[in-house]
This record gives sequence, C-alpha cells and structure tokens, in this order.
Amino acid sequence: MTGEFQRLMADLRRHPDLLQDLGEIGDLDRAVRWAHERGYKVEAEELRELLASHRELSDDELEQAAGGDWGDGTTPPPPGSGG
Amino acid sequence: MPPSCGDWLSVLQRHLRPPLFKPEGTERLRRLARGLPGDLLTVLELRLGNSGGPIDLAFRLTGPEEALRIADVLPASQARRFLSAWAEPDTALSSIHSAWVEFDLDRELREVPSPVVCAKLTSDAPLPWLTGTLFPAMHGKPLTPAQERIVRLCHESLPSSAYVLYAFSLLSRGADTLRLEIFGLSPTTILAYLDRVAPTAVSWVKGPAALFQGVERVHLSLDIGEEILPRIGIEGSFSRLPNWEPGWRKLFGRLIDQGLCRPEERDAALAWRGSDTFWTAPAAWPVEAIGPVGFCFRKLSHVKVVCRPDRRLEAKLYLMLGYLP
Repeated sequence: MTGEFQRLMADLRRHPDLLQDLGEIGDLDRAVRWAHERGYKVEAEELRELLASHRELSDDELEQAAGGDWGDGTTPPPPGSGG
Repeated sequence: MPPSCGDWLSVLQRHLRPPLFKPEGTERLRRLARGLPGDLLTVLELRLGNSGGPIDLAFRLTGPEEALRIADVLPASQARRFLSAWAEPDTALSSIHSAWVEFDLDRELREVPSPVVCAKLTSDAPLPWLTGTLFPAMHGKPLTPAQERIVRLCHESLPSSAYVLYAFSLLSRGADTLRLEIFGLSPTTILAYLDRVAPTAVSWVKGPAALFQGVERVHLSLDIGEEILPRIGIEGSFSRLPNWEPGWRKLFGRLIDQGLCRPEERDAALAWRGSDTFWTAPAAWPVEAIGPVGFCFRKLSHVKVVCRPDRRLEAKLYLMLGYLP
C-alpha cells in the first residue's frame, strides 16, 4: 500500500460517511476522481482492489468456501470432538 | 504480521451475540483466538438448548506447513509431537489427508492448551495402518489389546456404504480414549451397525437416531476405551445452505420438539451465513496485515446430538468461518 492509500484507508475507517460516499460510486474512474478531488493521490489499481470487495459473497461462493475436501467442491463437516 | 483468528472474530463481532453467544464464553474464545492463526478454516462449537457455557474452537490443517504453524504455538504435548511428525516428508503419516485440532474452552486458560487432534482418512485407509501407525502416533503409545480389538470390530463391521472418516485421540482430555467417526450410515443402518459393535447402545440411541431421518450427511462417533464407552454422538448436515435446503429447518424443528434447541437458537443458526469485508467492518478489518481485500465468510456446518444412557441428550451446533482472499 502506498502512503497515500494508507492515509485514505485510515480516514475511511474513521469516517463512515466517507466510506459510504465511496461505496456509492460503482465506477473505478469516478472513484479515482473522487479520491483525487479529496486530496488522496492514490493509484487506480489500489482502488480497484478496494472496490472489488464491496459486495457479498454469492451463495455459490459460500457453498464452495470451505475448500472442497471431497473433491466435488464440498467439504465434510468437521469432526464433532466436543466432550 | 498476518491476521489472527482473534482478528476475524473482531470482524464478526456484530454476529457474536445472544442467543448463541454469551459474553463470558465469547470473551474466553477471543482471548485464545488472538494467539492462533487466522488463515485456517475455523469452526466454533456451541451448546444448544440452554445456551451459554463454553465455545470451543477448531481448525482444519490441510498439510505440513499448517501443522507446523499450529505445533509451534502448542505446549509440549503429544498433539504437538503428532503434528510435527505428520509434517515430516515421506513418512507413514504422509497419507493423512487433513487434520483438525480442537481447543476445549471449558475452563479459564493462562496459555494455549493442548488440543484434541483428529485425522481425516480416505475411504480406503487400511485397518493395519489405522491401528498400528496412525492411532499410536496420535496417542503416543500403542493401542491396548482391547482397543485394537474394538477398532478392528468397528472397522470390519462397517457396511460397504460406510467408512471411518475421522480418527481422534482424546488424550488431551486426560482420558486414554480414542474416537472413530463413521460416515455413510443412515439413521436406520446406525442401529443395525450398533447391534453388531455395541448392542446395548441400540435401546438408548434409537430415539436420537430418528432425529436425523432425511439428513443428507450423517456421522456416527464412537468412543473407545477398554470397551465402547456409553457416549455416542450423531451428527448431521446438508451440503447446501439453509436457504436452499429445507432439511436444515426440519432437523432443527425435531431438536426443538425434543427440547434440545430453542426456536431463537434455530433462527440464529440458520442465519449464520454470509460474508464481511472491509466495507462492513472497517474499524476491525486487519488492513495493516492484508489490506482492504477479501471476505470473512460464515456458514452453518452441522449439528450433533450426544447420547448417554444415564443422561439427558445434549445438542451442539457447529459454525464455520474463514477468510477468502
């Protein structure tokens, strides 16, 4: 992370309104403009990664999320070792 | 510094609330999780029915690198020796597919405790390897003649549809006890199987087994000391999420009918599904370690009913969480 991006991240963590503003911008070019207008000279690639995580995992992604221990994308329930 | 499991629990803080999570158990969980890795598939074990009490913590280890990282934080113990041995290249333990470690949190801890260890087996794992190599490596000593005889009986009595999925040593609980967890039985075939290996259990397992009628994935666990101990676990789950699989709600409904689960616990369990990101938990997200990327997911794993002849049935809930880059 560049120093400028770190500064933006710190401010996004501190100010929910700022995070919400950025979250409402779906387009990368507009997001870069939005950041630059507010004095954050961040790289487009850094914002691309940030915007990519602004979503929920789909049900399909969730069902596959545990790693596919059975070779079919599913995983067996972990052992119930409770005493 | 990579994120710890405790970091992810902080990200999930808004989901760690009653009726499933009580402050005391959650705080103890978080204290332990701070010192444990955050990049492993993680499962929380909670008690249903009269919620509260401890929340246990388990991790899946998929290979030597992960085994060594967990071994490094453990006290000197058989669990640590086993994980280190598994991590050695080209040994008789190399065929272990994956392993789990579970940390019991039923008491206040001053340091990371020795966990229960469990190995996941392939369906064709040979019996001599199980009794002569795996269990002794996990347990730190050869099986007693009675344990060997019982493991052999349990293995040889399996119908063709079933196999030993997990093998445990419960040494960390101070007991010279092994556990076999068997996959591929149905509620009906569980009884037929028990009739061969532990016939006295049929009468007190028959009722609880029926709770799992129609469940897609059923596991049976047997504890083995000098005999099959009077404590049998049945677990159930579905491969699909609750919003796609109505069987989850039916299973919880049967637990509620038996007084093993409260409706609000069912609702909270079925709602344990989704993901958090930097955007949903900006203050807690471990930005310094991984940046703002990725997802912390959560999903329902399975439920378990523990049967004992002289005690009330007990139901447990298993909730999964993990990080996806």
